[in-house]
Amino acid sequence: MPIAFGGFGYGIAFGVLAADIGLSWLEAVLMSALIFAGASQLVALQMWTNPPAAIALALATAVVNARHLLYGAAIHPWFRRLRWFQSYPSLFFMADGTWALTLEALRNNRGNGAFLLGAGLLTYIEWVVSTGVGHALGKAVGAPQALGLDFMLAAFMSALMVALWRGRADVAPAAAAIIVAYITHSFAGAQWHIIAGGVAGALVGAWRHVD
Amino acid sequence: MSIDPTVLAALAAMGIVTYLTRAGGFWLMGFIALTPRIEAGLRTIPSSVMVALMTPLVLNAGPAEAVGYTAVLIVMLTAKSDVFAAMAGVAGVALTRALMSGTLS
Repeated sequence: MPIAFGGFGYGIAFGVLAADIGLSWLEAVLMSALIFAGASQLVALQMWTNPPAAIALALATAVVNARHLLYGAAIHPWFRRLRWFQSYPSLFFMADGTWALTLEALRNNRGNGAFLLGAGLLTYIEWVVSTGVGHALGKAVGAPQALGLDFMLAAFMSALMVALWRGRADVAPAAAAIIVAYITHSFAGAQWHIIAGGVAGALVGAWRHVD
Repeated sequence: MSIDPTVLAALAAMGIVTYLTRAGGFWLMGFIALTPRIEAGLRTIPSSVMVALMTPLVLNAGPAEAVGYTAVLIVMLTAKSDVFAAMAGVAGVALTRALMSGTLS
């Protein structure tokens, strides 16, 4: 699933949004440093409360990041040859873009296991630094409603939705996601509809799969 | 420069869960094979999550937000850049709000 994020710009946007939600600079930077997964961090901001609902947040993070299971499985044939202290730390830096690049390099017999670590570290530093810069910018500009900045998170989410759309295969899962999300949203608090809708879509996707 | 303990706990939980997704697929492959059906389900998750997240937002959108979402969609379908699309959406909302409040007329 190649998601071509505008690297630094995406991190800046995340930092601005985190400032707008009310996270401190340290909290925003720490979130990027500990999680390092943009889409799930945006979902977390969308769900953010004070104090944060840790269990709901962790569950939503697990659902959004479950695609990593697939990535890890895909590079297993190559990474199994590494020692555990080489493979497991490298996996921390596996993201959509670096995974795709690594897999391509390994398939073409270019590069080795260290490729993921190298590309991942660069992306990681870029992500953490741009988050910090974005947060500082957000604090400086403020987020007045007249500028429409309160819409930025929703705008980013809808753009991400279009970017992740795979075409006809997504129609039936999306219909299930909408129905389940709508029903869940009407009675459950917080942001459980994100988890419920996402899981419903995945189940329909698996159910409709033809071998 | 501050960090709330409840925030730190939430961030740590999210960080651990994320690492488990990164390491878990690789680890599991040492024991079992991923069936095509499970793979198809996992592949469906990203778009489904975003659709679920957007559902109440779109249903509760006012005129300004409707213009914003339309701008995002148009830029995504033409320029295919999520950063530019989000900026276009924000601009669309700001412009519509200004027009509706009469500050531009």
